[in-house]
Amino acid sequence: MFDFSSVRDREIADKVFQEAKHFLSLCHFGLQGITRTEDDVREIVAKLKETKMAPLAFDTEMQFVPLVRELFTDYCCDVKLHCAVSYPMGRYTLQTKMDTLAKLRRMKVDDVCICLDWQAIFSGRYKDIETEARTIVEEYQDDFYRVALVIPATLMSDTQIIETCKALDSAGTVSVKVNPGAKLGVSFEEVALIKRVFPNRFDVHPSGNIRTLAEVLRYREMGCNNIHTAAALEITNAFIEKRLNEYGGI
Amino acid sequence: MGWGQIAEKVILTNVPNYYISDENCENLYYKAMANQIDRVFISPTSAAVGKKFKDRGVKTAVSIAYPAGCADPELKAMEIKNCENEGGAADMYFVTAAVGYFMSGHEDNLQKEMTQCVEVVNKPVYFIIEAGEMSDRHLRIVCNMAKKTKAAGIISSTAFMPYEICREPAEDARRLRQYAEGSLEIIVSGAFTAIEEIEHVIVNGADTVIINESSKIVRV
Repeated sequence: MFDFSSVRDREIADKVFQEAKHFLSLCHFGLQGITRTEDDVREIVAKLKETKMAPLAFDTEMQFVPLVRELFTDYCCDVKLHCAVSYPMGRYTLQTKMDTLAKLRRMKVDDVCICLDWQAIFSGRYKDIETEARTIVEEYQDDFYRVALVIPATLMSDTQIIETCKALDSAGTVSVKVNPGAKLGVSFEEVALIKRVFPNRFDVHPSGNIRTLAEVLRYREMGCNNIHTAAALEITNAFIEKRLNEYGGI
Repeated sequence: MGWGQIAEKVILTNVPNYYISDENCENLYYKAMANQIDRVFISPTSAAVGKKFKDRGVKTAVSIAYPAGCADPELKAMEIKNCENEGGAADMYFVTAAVGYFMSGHEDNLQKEMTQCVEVVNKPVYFIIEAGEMSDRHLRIVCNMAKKTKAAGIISSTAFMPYEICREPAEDARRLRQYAEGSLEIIVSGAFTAIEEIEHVIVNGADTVIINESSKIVRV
């Protein structure tokens, strides 16, 4: 992580630090996957703690929630915890998704995303999507910081994206995560399509294959304030260097 | 080995694939029948299709907690119950174990998930691990627990390609066979592209092999 002590002008260093803090607070950061161990989690939390900043949320698996919470108890920032449900393909039954959300609510996890039933999407069963979204939203919308419903936009035609978003609109969905990550990366076109057809309707969360500062800045220009990128810390570093160059701090 | 002998040891699946529609899922069953394969592996959201094929001579395995396996034991058992309540398309369940948590030293959690999942349903329950990422000690514990809890068998891998995981199907088969001895069915899952690869895995100890329906091995 960038070493602010190398900046001679303290005023510039402080200003850029605050801006970087805000920048990272719009990105998710964390670690997920079947073979992740507690050591991996400790390592990634330690890496985040070096920054003295907090991401929008720290993404982790349900089992590691107590550990992550404990690791952040002495941290300078409040870190929200995020868990994904039925990730990445939405293959749990609706009842299992509801059971999992109930468990996460009891665990006081702050933020969640739920992968919709992709088989229903690819089969054009939009009524089923609406029912699924409505059931989740009505029960849990107010219990988490965000309840984002995940669509595999990269695998969908424009028509499928629009029809799915219509179903989500009818169901009262607020947040839509565009792609899960896991090798399915978002594109500017997918976000632009949703923004154009449903202006000011959804809180869009781009996810996957976001690797550069330029990409994050462009998604922010498009009105996205909840960005999922595995490279959040590297991109924040690039942001810091860019700002220091602009302010004459380097 | 001729195809007839191999087909008896094959499970056909679409579970690791991202794009599955109802039609794709029906085609999975037809493809299995056309290739003399009598078991398919599907997801809970494909169960409605599975029900349609209930008496067509193809058995259905349904995935639980796939692919991450990170739900806690109670939720996995509840997922099996939910699948049963929604029509019971499954003849057996393939449960993804909480591999990373187990490798962090939480053997009690694996014991719990095996016990709860096996006890919640009167059907064979198998556990999916990532054998290539696990030490011999881990494999020995997994196999002993599976035997003790009366699990039906162990599946070597999720074969979920977005996970960057070390997978060596033949080696996984050999290692698992060593600890399973004769009492667990060893199922090896991988990205097989040739019949010779399947033969090699069987020779090394696999009872059964999971093939992705997109593999060119299975002719329509």
